Amino acid sequence: MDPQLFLSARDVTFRYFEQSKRNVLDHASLEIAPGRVTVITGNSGCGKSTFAAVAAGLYPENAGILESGEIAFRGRPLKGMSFRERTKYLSLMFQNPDLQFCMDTLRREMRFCMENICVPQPEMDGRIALWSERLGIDSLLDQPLHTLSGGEKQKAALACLFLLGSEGVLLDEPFANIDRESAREIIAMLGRANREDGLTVIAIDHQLDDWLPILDEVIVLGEGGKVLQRGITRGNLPQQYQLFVDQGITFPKKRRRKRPEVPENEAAIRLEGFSVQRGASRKRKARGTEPDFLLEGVSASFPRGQITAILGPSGIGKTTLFLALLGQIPYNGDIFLCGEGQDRELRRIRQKDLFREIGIVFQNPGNQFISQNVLEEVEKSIQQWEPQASPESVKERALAQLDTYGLRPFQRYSPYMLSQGQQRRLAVLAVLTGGQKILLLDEPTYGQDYRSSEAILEQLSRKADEEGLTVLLTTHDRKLAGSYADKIYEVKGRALVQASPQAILDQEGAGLYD
Amino acid sequence: MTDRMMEKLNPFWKAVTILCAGLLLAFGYSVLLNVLTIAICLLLMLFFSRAKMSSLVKVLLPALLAAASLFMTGLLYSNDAGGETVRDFSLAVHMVGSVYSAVQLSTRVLAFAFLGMLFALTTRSEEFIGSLMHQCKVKPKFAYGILAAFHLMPHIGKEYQNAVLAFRTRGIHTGKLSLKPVSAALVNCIRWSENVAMAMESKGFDGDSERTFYHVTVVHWYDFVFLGAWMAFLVLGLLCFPW
Repeated sequence: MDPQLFLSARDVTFRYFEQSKRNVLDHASLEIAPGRVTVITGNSGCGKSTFAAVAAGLYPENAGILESGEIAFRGRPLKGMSFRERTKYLSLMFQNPDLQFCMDTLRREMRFCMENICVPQPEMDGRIALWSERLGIDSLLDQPLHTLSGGEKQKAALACLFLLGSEGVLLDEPFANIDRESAREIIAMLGRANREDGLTVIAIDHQLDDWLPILDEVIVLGEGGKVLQRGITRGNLPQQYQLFVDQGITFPKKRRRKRPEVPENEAAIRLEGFSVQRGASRKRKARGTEPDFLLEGVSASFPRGQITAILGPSGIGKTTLFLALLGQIPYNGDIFLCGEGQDRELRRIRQKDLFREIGIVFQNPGNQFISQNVLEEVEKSIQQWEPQASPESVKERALAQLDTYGLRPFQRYSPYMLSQGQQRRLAVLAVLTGGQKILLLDEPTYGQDYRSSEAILEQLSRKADEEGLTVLLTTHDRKLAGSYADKIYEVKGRALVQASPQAILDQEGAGLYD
Repeated sequence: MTDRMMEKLNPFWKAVTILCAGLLLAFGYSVLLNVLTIAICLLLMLFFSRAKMSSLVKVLLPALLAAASLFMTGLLYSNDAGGETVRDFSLAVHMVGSVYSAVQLSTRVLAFAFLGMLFALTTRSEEFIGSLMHQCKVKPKFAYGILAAFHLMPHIGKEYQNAVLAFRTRGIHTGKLSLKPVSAALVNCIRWSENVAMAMESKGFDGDSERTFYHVTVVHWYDFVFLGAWMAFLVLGLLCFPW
């Protein structure tokens, strides 16, 4: 093994289950040089995340079977290295910002990290001060971690990685659950560490746009984790267009408007003088404190049979708005459900009836699976709405649906065994097969490759056009919103500000690689 | 906020003291001893700790309920009533013996409750876990495992709420006691614990090997004074007031 290489993985074959016929990684090999920023991309489910976990030695330690393969850092085999030794070479940032910490505040988490690598106690406070200042996150140090936004959590995680002082960091779709601005800030921080300290950065991501300013090389992985193409740089990226299209990966390029401009339909949902507070829950009401409004005095309308997108960074009230629309949290002002000649205020509608009109796909799809396997998940949805349908026809239709979403091969899997991207697709599919006329989707394209995002949005567009489905989705992917939404609201301050889809696209196109 | 005496005590030795005190108290029958124990706990919490009044009341309410129900039990099903179960309340009122045993039972429950509160309301979970590592030689693997699980708690409640909502919006009825959302939330929690464990490992957490500590809980002379004082008080109490 070559000590000049930062990471070398040879002939890695890995699968999750003994009986499984499919190897997630199939004789995959990869070498990464030190001091560079490498972005690994590939379609959903090609084994990128698995590769990260195997390379870091988390698998097969925690799950799965490593059939063959050798991994080495700087020529030293990973096997036999303790976790502490491994952090000298590599530390990781994960996709889900909620699940990276074992302590309750960042300061304590940072101490925990330093204790792990045996930093002498008197040095600890100094190091915490140094890194929190360099990253500008002083204010986060003593806040309970579970109250931070996704972006803040990932910054906190980054601070821990820097603190550990590994030679390289591996980020597994770190921005799938956070807003764009935070993602850009984190990339800038990584770029600086790369330039100044020679940090090796390996990132796994579907979206290359934000990495372009700092990346040295892009590697495209295909089925079984095999390298399809490497050595892609900013300079030769345009020649790879066809490869990206074939693999269904987002090509970092200005996107075209997909939906024709049509006049706005009459409203399906209307907000009038709508206000909602931060942390409002059914039980808790702020006592004596000034109400902390997320949205205040908002008036808006969401047109029937069209797609409305709500844009804005995380933690500023998009999800809260959805909970209010489902009657789950108290609000001031009115929410009207329009139609059938009369507008009904939401508070006057029984919850059970409301849920037959409004469906939702949550941000964390793992929250909403109601059955033991993928096929059943869709079947149950169909049965729920058509109790008289025969089991055979239900199965047939469910399989056809799974096919369109590329989930058919996984029909016998438990929903929880799917990758993050696949889980989200399944959640969208299961809710779409229901009969609700209004659908709320909370970040439906998180952690999806371009092809899957398109597939989801295409289907939503079709349903809107053909069946008059009203779609209300939140996203931080502005390009996607610009391409598919009929109407766009941006959360600014405490207001919803309307923006034209074309204008959003034009803004996004500016200054980008084109 | 500066710590007062109760917070300064070593959490592990405080736990030992309280456990021993509870054990000794179990041998006592004296109402006076129970009441004195309650009074001491209350004094320590009010004047020598930073225990919050609101949490004190919150814990006290169910304890009072338990005490009241045991009081009634003692009153109505006492041995002193001649071995017969008294069903006529007016009769019971006149039986001094059964009133005394009722008071015995209820103060006993309260005394245990106050001892528990004296520990719980004056101890920070992190410090207690740290103290288990330093004084009791519990392995970091277990100690940090417990801490991580503890810090996932706020998510678990939220997760359950989400699961309930998800089921309802999909048109599936979930009653208050339905297990469906619970199992969905549990599956998520198990997945989480795996993820958190991996995150900890990737930060160099080994579980067994050597590590440094930012904060080491130490034992002072006053920890043993606290232990000794409680033991002396209870042993004397048991000898002086056997009934």
